[in-house]
Amino acid sequence: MKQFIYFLSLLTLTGCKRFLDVDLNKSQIPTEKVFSNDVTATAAVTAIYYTISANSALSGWSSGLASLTGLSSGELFNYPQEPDYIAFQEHAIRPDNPYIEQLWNCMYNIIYQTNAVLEGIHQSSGLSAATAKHLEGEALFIRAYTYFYLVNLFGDVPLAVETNYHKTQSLSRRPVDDVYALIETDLLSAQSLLSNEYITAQRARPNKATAAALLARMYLYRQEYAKANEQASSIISDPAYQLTAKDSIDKTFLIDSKETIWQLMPVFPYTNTPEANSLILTTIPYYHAATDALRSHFEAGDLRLGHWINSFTSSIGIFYFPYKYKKKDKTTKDPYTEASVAFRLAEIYLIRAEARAHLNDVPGSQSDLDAIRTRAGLAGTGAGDQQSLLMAVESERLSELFVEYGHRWLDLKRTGRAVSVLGNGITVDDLLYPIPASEFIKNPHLGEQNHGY
Amino acid sequence: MSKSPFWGRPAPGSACPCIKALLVMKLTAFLLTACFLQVSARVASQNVTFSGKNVSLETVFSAVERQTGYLFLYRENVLAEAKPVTISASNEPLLQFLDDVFKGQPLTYLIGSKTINISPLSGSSNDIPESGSTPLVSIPAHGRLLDESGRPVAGANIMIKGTRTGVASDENGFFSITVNVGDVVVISFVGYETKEVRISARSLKPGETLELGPIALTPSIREEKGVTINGGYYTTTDLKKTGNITKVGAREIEHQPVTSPLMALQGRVPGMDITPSNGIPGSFTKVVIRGQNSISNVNATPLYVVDGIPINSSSISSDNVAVMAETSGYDPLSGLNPANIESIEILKDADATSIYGSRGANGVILITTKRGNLSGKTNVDLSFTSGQGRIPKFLKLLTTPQYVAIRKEALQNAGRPIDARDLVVWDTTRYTDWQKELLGGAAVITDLQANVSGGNASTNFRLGGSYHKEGTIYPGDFGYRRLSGNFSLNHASPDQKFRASLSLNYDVEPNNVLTTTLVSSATTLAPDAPALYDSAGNLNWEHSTFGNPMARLKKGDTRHSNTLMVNSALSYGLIPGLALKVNMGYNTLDANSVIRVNTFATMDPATITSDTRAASEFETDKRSGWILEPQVTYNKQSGEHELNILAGASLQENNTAHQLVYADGYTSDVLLESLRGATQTTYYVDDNSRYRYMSVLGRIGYGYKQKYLLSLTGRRDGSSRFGPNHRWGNFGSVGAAWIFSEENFMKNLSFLSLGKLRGSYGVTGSDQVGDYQYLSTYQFTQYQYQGAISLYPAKLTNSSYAWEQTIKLEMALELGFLDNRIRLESVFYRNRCSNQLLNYQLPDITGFTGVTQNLNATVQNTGLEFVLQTVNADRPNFQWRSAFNITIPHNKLVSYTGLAQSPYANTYVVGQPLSIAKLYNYLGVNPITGLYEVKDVDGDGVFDLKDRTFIQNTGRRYYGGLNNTFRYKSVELSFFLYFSQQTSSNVVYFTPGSTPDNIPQEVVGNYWRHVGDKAKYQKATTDYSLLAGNSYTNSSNASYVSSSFVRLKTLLLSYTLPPALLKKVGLKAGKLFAEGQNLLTFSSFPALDPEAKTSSLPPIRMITAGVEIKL
Repeated sequence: MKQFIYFLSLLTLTGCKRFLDVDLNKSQIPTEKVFSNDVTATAAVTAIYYTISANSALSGWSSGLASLTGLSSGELFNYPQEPDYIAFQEHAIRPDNPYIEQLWNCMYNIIYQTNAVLEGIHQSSGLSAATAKHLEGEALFIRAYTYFYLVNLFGDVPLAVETNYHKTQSLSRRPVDDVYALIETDLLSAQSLLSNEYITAQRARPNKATAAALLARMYLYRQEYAKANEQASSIISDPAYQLTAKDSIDKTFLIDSKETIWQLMPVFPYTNTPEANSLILTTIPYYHAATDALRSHFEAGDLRLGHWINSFTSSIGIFYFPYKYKKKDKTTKDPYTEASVAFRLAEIYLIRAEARAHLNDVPGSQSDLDAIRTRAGLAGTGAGDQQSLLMAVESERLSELFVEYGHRWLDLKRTGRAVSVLGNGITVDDLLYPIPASEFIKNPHLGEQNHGY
Repeated sequence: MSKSPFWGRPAPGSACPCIKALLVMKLTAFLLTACFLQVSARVASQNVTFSGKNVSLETVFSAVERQTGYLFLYRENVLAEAKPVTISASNEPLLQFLDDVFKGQPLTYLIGSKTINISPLSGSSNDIPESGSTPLVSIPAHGRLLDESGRPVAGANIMIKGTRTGVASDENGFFSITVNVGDVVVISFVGYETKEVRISARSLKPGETLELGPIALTPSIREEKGVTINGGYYTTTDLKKTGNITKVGAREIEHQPVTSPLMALQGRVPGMDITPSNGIPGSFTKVVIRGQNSISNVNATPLYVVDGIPINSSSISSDNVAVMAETSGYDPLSGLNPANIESIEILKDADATSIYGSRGANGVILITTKRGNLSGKTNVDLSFTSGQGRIPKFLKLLTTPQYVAIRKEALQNAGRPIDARDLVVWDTTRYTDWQKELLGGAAVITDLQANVSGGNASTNFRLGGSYHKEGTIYPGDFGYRRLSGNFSLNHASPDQKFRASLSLNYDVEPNNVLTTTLVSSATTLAPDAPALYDSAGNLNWEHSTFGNPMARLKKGDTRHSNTLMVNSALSYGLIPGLALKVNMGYNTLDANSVIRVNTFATMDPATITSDTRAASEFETDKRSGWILEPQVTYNKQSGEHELNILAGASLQENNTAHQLVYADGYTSDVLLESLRGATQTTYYVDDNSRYRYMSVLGRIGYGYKQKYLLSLTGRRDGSSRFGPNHRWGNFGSVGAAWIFSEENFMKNLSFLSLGKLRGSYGVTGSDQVGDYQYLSTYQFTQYQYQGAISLYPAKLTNSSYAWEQTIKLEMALELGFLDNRIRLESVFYRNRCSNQLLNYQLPDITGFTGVTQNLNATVQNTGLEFVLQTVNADRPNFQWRSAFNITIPHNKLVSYTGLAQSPYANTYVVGQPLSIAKLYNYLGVNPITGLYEVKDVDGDGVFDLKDRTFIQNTGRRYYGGLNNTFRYKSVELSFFLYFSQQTSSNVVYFTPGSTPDNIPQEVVGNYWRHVGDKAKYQKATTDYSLLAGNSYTNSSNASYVSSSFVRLKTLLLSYTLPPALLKKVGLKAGKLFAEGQNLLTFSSFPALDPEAKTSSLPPIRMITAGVEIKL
């Protein structure tokens, strides 16, 4: 009878409603609770770094940005001749290439996460002002960082700035300028919101200088050289950042390197950095190896050839591989000794060298370039005018930044030199990757595919 | 035929003293003759036309006999005091006519199946006084109806003779009726002989209730239409049902050596498509009732209800691929001992399933476990079965010389040196039949059952236990074990008003599971592959050139699970016909697995370094749920009207918890089962969810003259799986049946014993999406970032999705011929599922790949189902019965708004079934190049979706089964054939010698070698660039071949021990039996089995024998 009375009470309208309101999965936290306090709101932001580090898009995994663009730019070649990788090497990517889909999918997921954080912070009242400010800065920075790669790899892309899928599912591609406008706005906001100091150890979360670094890079790409020079200088003048010395060039990518501006921590307990994991060869390559073209690019006596490129001798021949990151294997107990460096001071020097060359500051450009050359054990640059300096910077950027975050591919694209430098059947159409074919099927408003696909 | 000088009728097995008083006369021989002469058995449905003034009863009787075929039976002197009658009736129902005839007569009558018995109203010597001098006292009387095996008979009519007062027995066989002295209680039920109970003065004490005790009904010959059917919340009978409910009884299930009770139903239920995921015991069985309703496959599970408790029908551990690599997880019903199942009812159409409302769309499977017996005796039943199984078929593969020759040719054709390890490192004179080596073992099965049952009408019980062990055909000691116990207790208060029942099933499965399949190793390992073990008995790695398949068997994974299901029902009869009832259930399932991911024992020693560590996964699954269902039932029979009303509510909660812990850093295999032995543990999965569900439901069943039947069902459901504004849904149905053979105008068709037309229409639904999908949530990342937790958005959130709807229509015609010796049921159904609830794919720019939402698409399943049951021979010493069923299903995507723009644009076609495959058009092997070619339809030189213009339906075209049972004296033989007409994909096209794998022997002499050759297979080569055509061919129409089959699924031979022998050894009953499962399969399908996938273990050919005794 008791149950019956209990049941009768449940039959009332409120009783019904209450009965059907079930406890939530304990491993899932409602969005409004996530942004109700500093700890979980911060966790929502660090999850973005986790996503970048764990997934293959903006990371150093074999199907990540650095490897794919490395194949396109002739730094790497795919040894097992896997067709979907060869497509990058041969500039014959099809719109249904799984790695293209992965890049696209992962980057828009990161963008979703940044939008969710921004919305969560704006709707929340429970966060401390300092945390809310910093998290907002980080989210804006990451959104800009991701769009920077999207716009450079794919050209016109849809701009998702909210989480509401009813709206985002039918977005159209927006012109490159609009995308850059968003990137600049986001970065300037981020710069004002982020602190000078790193808020955790190991420079694993972006700070103000990180925003400046991406601004400097973006202005360089947009040919706003004075602004690039200004942003780069703000970092170079900061004593927190130092190039590693010539005799400790092997320590450049260590976790506590003073050269690092922002790095992504590895997240798997069994592996070190994705770069070390996918590139260091202890067997015949499963994936990619360094091309002869890359090795022959180095000037004689360049320490980077000996220290940042290594070889594995197998029964069928010698394979070379990028060796910036030294530690491949890891047991769960070992601490991480390296992290994936997304921004480092060497790039900033090279940005300023290039900007100064454009601004006709020849000595300034030369000194920035020589800072890098000296560390590599090379003599000062012989370039003495704007044009030769620009060529010297291009060359130096390859020697310094090879197989790092797509630098070489994006450099050749932005300077318009890809077709002449790479040859190998490349056409202007190949400079933009195709947008995944499935996106056009799922979103009829997306617009036209990139030309040539 | 003249009046027979008999009085009375047989009352075998009678337990009631007042019946014993009747003169019992054997009519058996007479009735046996009669049933061949009088083929009709239409009770109370025949009409009489008769007019007469002051005519004798004898005259009336002969007229009735002529018109209806009934015989009047009475003692010679009975009519002496009868008065002549004056009557005028035109086409009046027999009952009504007889009532008029007997009005005022000192006589009463009782209608049997073919007879009308006349007896004096005042009874025999110990009768009550003349009715005039007896005060009329109304006294409640209680009784319970049981069938020949002590099981309750529900839905029988209990009437006071000569009145229109009556009740129906409830699902436990109980009834209460108010009686007066002198009344004759008539108990009639289709399928059973009608029985009468006289209320004599002696049995009455005013103010008390009258106990009629258990009353045994005797089945009438061949009228199986009276079988009680469980409709879930109510019971009905096969004759009176208005919906489509198929019942499979214990007899068809109990002797089959199957682990999942569902597998015993394969081919026996029309419209029910059962596919085992493989031959490994305990693995998930996929059940689809009347076709795939939903575009996304996962929604297609029926609702399982065991003793009133809904069981989560999704497979267990399906997210952990490591556990059972080749299956979709474990069977949630494997904890149920098939031998303990009394019956399984399958509910299919709207009328039957809409009482389950939002969960009935994909059909409902009701499982009832066995209950105690009410015979008053205590029975001990024991059974023991043992046997073994083997794989029924091996493929014919290349011998070593053939293999080596083709491999060398392939390398040469590709211009490569002969340097492959299978030709250079391995000993090319070795030959091993890997199928025999790896799959040639015997799976031993052992099954023990013991049950004690007993009790009486007020209290009865059943207590049982069982042990089941089933090995695998793989080498090594793997197997499935199940220990189960069951207990059932029923009690009724002396006045029968209060009743309580409890049933409990508990099961423990301690298993050493095999997490891998050896089928693909066995069928592809090179014939010259090295020995499995070295001379010291260790795994042989042949200098690290051989991936030893036995390594996988050495992992020693374990899985322990236990299941408890408890159900209790309490009911209280307020007034006759009106009862309150509460059904309560609780169930829990706990499973713990340890999966050894990496062990030293299974590693090639050459790869072990000082840094090598072993790893384990620890997985726990917990499921629990409760249900509470208060109900009110009202049953009333008044004259020709029968009304059954049910109103109730249902409250339900299900909880699940799933954890998967990855532990590694083990330095020794000995530590692998301890979490503390690991240096690092990671929670891969830590999930839990709660699901709640509540409903209000009602059903009205109405019958008029037992030939017009109507059923109305309604249900309002609320589910926690929907957002607050979308939780409630209304579902309902109407079903009707017309037993037209009861109509006068059918009377002349004497060959037609049953004609019934029924139909139903209604709406059911589905809420089969995950829990909490409408909520916006974050979840933990697998590992941490910088040593701190990270939270990422779990999914896109849509709070506005709602129930999926299926509108079901069914029309059926049921016919019985020659006294129901031939029965044919023909069904047409049409189910249309709309407002499809699924994970809808979205462009990646939304951040995710999809969201749970309703989709504006309609999927239609239509079909024809036929069931033919015949009694081919029915003699005292020899019986032969057949049952045949066939289902012809048709699935069609009726509409899909925006299909062309949808992610399914390349998968589905409007107007075509969901099961189509779009394929290339195969052209054959080019005689010039020796390569496979498919047609480049659009001629653009690229092979893509535009060239896949061949549309192949991969669904079943028809399927069914044929069962034959022969009984000669005490020997019974039955065999069951299961058949299906279908097309499946099979990777039949390969490039000879391209990989170091063995291939079918058929390739010899059948592959291209020289220009101009017309060959089935392309040229031998290892050149990867020449394999593209091979992969297109495997996605072409050529690789889809007929996988139709006819399978001798079961063959059962049993011998009932003679009573004389049993008496000597002190047994009540005894039976010996032998059974074969999957003995023969006829199919042209070129793989191991037409039902199994290429790499999964096919159904095992199992032969068992056993003994069953009753103490």
